[in-house]
Amino acid sequence: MTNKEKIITLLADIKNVDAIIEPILDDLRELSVDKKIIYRIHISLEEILVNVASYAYPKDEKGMMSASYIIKDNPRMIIITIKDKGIPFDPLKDAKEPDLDASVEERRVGGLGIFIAKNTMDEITHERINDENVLIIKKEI
Amino acid sequence: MIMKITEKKEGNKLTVFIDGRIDTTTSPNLYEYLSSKMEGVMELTLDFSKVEYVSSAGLRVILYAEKTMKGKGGKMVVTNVNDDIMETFELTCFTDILTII
Repeated sequence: MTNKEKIITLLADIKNVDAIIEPILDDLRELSVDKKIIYRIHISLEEILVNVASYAYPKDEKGMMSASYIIKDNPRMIIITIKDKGIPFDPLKDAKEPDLDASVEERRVGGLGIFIAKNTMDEITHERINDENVLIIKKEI
Repeated sequence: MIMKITEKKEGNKLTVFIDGRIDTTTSPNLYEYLSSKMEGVMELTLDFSKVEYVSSAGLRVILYAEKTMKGKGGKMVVTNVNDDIMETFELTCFTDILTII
């Protein structure tokens, strides 16, 4: 059975990131999805949404960000689509590759969140469609 | 989400007990706390017994603390890390940088 698509749209503000993430995680908990998978989805969503809230819109402009999601069966997976109407920005490309071998002194945190998302989600893609940034995350649950 | 921080100080040894999430919202609090408390500390322990979640914002603060302690010839240890957080540390090779026990 394929569930209905749900959508949450809020002002692109860091304060709203949790408000978008929590309902999605609640639905996953209700489906008894493995805790580890929920954790990985949580980190990935936080990273992407914080990026959107921080960079999608110029400082003096307000804009919206939305997350819609649907759960499909066979295999059971969640597909989350994050959209914003901000400047063209692909967090997957624009984030620096972290240097995992660097020493403590040289180590930087930039790009780590996206790195974690790319390495724990099954698929993450970004497209620019009709003046919108569209980022799709797929994860088998 | 509220993050609670408590501490135990013995001479120049400080143990910090963190309760809650270390994420985008709460990590600034941890940063402010640590930056003010590390003065004069040569052994810092971050006790993660009650830390349920660390995102990349949290990694930033943890790295800051490690760099600061190392920079002054001190030591930092992270204890009682749960499996999910440990996986994040391993994935990002923070296990090479941090002392986790």
